[in-house]
Amino acid sequence: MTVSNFIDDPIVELILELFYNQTNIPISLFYGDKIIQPSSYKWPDFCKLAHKKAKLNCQENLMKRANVGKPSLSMCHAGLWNYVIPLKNDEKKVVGALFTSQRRIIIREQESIKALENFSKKVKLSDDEHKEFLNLFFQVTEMPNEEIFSPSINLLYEIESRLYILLSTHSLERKKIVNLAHQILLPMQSIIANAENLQVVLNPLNKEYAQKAEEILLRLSELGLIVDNMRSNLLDNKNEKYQFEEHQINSIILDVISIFKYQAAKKNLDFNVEVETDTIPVAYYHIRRALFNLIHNSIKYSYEGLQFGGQGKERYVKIRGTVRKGWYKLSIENYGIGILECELDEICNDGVRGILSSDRERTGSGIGLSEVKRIIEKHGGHLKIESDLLGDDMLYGPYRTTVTIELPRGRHGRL
Amino acid sequence: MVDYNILWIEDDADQIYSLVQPLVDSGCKISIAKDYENAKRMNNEFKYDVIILDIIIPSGKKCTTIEEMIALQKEGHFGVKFLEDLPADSPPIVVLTVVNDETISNNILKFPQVVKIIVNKGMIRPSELKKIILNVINKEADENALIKG
Repeated sequence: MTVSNFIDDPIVELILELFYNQTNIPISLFYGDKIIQPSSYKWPDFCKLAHKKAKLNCQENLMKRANVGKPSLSMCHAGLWNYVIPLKNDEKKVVGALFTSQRRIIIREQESIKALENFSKKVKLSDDEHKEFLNLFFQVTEMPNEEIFSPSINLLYEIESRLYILLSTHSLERKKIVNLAHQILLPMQSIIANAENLQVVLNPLNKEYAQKAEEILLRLSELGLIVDNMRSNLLDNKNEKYQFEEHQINSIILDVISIFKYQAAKKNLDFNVEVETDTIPVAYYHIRRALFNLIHNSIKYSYEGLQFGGQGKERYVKIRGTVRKGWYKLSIENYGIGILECELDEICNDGVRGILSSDRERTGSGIGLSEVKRIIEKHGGHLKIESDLLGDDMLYGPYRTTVTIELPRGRHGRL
Repeated sequence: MVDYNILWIEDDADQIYSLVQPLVDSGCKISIAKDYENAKRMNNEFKYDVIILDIIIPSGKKCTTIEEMIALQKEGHFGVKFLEDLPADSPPIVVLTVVNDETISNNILKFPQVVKIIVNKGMIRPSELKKIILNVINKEADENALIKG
């Protein structure tokens, strides 16, 4: 888990900027391969020159100090001082570090000059270059002694402890979500497996009961999808890596469609499916979940029965999978409740539900499409939604809604 | 009918045994290991065509003190440990887990040579699992045939 799991980078940047404004001591946060620092802070010219002349890895050096696990004041390669406070998670593992910017400390100037001379020799600076280096050194903000760090260090400790509390609380929340999902999904898995086996056994014996088993299976699958979407949304696994394996995408699409056959038949919906065969790299579980969400939506938002006189007679879900140069394109089109034009840009945002879809018969959470978008983008693909009003009744439609996804056929574009 | 040998590492196998019923019905022999120690022993002693691996499994070690128990819990997930300890000639692995945490998922992905697919428990249908398992076994057989020339 990283800091980015529980707090947005821009918020950290604002806190650090505020701190810099109040204390004139810039503090930066390191985590992973990122540095967040006050937006108005500029590195001293001295540091820029030192980096130009020698391949310094200040971040590695600071993280080494942080990994010791204790706050420490120390001198950098080129003679400046800074303070590092490790940031730990609830397992006491160092996940990042807060560090103050480089400063000169007057009472320890001799140590700095010595370090500076050693540095000049090490990177073989000419006399002129050393002179320039020395000039820039004396332009770095000075502090009379290390005690000056104290007020800011106390504040640093405060920031560190607050971040620690946030990390711990967040970690606990994640554990709760993981455990709750586990508790729900395990019995659900058991019932789903039993329902399908039951349906297979009943099918040749009693069609009516076999259909009941199929309905149980479908409803549980819907419930499972909701739990899965909810868990993924709450855990917000931004840094999750996907396992990409070559799969027959047409086979995955047809498998998901087959799950909804009964529900579609119950709504008198025709599935009009033509998918071309192709093998592309996908993360099986994730892509299956994305397709599950999309096909589930297409049925949910299709009309059933003969509503709206003659206009309501069209009841279909049209699915087309086509192989394009570099991409596999899948479009899912349905006829029914639509999305307003002004909502199209926002409809994939987390928690957003279209105005027309928010009726009581069509419950939803507004997280399905945002999950789909996240999954498709992780594959390096694209998602597009169009919803065309057929006729002139903006509120009751009908609309023809088409969701198009494009998935890369090769390894390009993936995140 | 097929006669594949499958090792299923799953502490909740009693609860979700129906999930492998179609595999059993089609002739596969399913051996169940309910913890890490047993799984490791069985994998060393017998030859399997595929392993279905749960990630959150007990260690199987007997503790004598609370301290030992706490230390054991801190060792992490024993499904991941099973992957770490696998011999080079391991059969292909199908991870079947309820875990969806990015840290654990990313750990599983460190073993791409053996982990052929990650399937999340919850919504998987027995027919689908059967298809996945048979695909993995067939693919492995094809690859081995290619290597042997």
